[in-house]
Amino acid sequence: MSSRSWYLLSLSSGLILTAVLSRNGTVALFSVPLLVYLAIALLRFPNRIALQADCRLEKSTSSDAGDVKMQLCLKNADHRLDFLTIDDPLPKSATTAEGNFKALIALDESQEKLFIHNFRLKRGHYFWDHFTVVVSDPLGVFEKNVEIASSQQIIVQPRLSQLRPIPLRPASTLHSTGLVPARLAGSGTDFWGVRHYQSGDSLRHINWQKTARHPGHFFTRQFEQEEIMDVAIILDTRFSIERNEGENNLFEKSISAAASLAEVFLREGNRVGLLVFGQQMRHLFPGYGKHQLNSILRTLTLVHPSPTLSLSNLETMQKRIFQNRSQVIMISTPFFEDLHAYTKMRASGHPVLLICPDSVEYSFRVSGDKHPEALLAKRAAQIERRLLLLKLSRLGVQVVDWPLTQSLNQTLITGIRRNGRAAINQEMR
Amino acid sequence: MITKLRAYLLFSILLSFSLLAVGFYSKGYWVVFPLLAGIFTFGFFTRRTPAEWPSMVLLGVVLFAAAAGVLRGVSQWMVLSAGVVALAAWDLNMLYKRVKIQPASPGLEQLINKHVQTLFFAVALGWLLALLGSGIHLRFPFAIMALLVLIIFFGLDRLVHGLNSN
Repeated sequence: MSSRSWYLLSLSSGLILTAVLSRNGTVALFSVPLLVYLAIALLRFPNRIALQADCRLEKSTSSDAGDVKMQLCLKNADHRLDFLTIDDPLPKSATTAEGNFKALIALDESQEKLFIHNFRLKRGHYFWDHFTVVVSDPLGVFEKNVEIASSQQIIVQPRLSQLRPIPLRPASTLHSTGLVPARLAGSGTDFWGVRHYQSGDSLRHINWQKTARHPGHFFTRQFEQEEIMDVAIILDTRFSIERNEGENNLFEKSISAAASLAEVFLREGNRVGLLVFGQQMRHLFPGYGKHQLNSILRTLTLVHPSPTLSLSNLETMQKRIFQNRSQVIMISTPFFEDLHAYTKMRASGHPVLLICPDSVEYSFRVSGDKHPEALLAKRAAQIERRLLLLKLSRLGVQVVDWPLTQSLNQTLITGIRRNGRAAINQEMR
Repeated sequence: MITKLRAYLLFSILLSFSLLAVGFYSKGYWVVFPLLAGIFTFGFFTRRTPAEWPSMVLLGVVLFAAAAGVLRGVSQWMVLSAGVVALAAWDLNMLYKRVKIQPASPGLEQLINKHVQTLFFAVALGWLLALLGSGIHLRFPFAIMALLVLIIFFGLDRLVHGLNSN
């Protein structure tokens, strides 16, 4: 029964009671039209309901940015149904691009009705096991919810942004041909050095200038070997709630960054592993290719923000999952308490690249507080953050400060180039 | 079609108000005018609310005002008709709110026509039965009347129970 039928019944009862209390039968007559209305609605309510639904999703995997098309075909296999509404099966976070299921319809015997809905979902795993159709009489007084089984699911993966190759120079590489300079002489394209000719060396690589200066000796040009590397992507999910609000929030940006980095490194043939650090640790052992990328995207689909946790817990996990001296790429907004963990990571031989989204700027932008005290607090927080990043870079961590106004691509290119120059300057000093 | 539905709604509201006003005024009760003005103001300010409760409150107020009119000796025919038309207005308002948020679909006009026909039939039958009932003058002792009311309530309770279990 719906709220309307309950209300009409209560109203009729109230009028009858008033008639009894006032000892005036005419008052009870006011309940007659209400009861007749209810009786007609009840008589017109369909006795048998035989609805069939065929629901189809265009795809089972989608990106955060992509539209999803859902088709629902509703068929009435019995007598005419006068009033039908479909309960919207979409989660509240979904945004409609075109169409919807909210239509009020009537279905004749054996009639079919097709609904098409284009919508956009946020990152996550969604599944539907049934649809609810509300069937009512022509007056819409009595309702019955009919659940039609239809199992559908969709995985909405994080958004991938196309990144340019990242010019990293790790301390060690894996001995397979790739695109990363291996700090070894070999069959690459970049000049590495000159050595005495050895039998078997290609004549194309003979350095004729040096050979001319040393009669009786031949010299060969050497090139830098290019190999693949072992990349360990660590996504820090210790995010406070305010950084997880809004459409394009800091947390989602970080997840998208982790996914895009995994994609670019795997595209270049490198071995990539993933560790999601937080209350619920998730990890993927290093692997290659599209299969690994799919596994990483699926893992990132299910990531949620975690409360603050000590980064020292990372050490055990990291040792178990990643190879020694593998290139660590950390996406995190660090705290002062994390310095010890970074020190240990560096001491165990991992080159670390820290991508640090500007959480201070983001928090103040979200709060929108423009008071002088708030601006002063922002300045203090920024100084504190810069100090922390400076301490981290002194530990040998390559820090890439990610301002929110810049794309990750731009940030990585300029940040890594700046870090490289700083390293060269330090070596020269 | 929605415009047509809105016209039906406005007509039924006006008719209900007019019947109440004429009925009460003919007996010299001015109090109905501030009451109607209050109902109108309340209805005006809650007209965009998607919730159902404002129209439910208004129907209750009109019906009990009509019942009070009967007790005060106002023409039975007038106030009974006002109550019946108020029921129709309430129903049309519910339908209008529901249809307004729906996207236009080919079968919508047919659906609204069917609803209006059923409503007209229900309201006309209810009004006729109530008028016929007003011509019946039976006198029962209070105890028997109370017993009859209890039986009616029991019947309604069983009806609700049966509907819910289905």
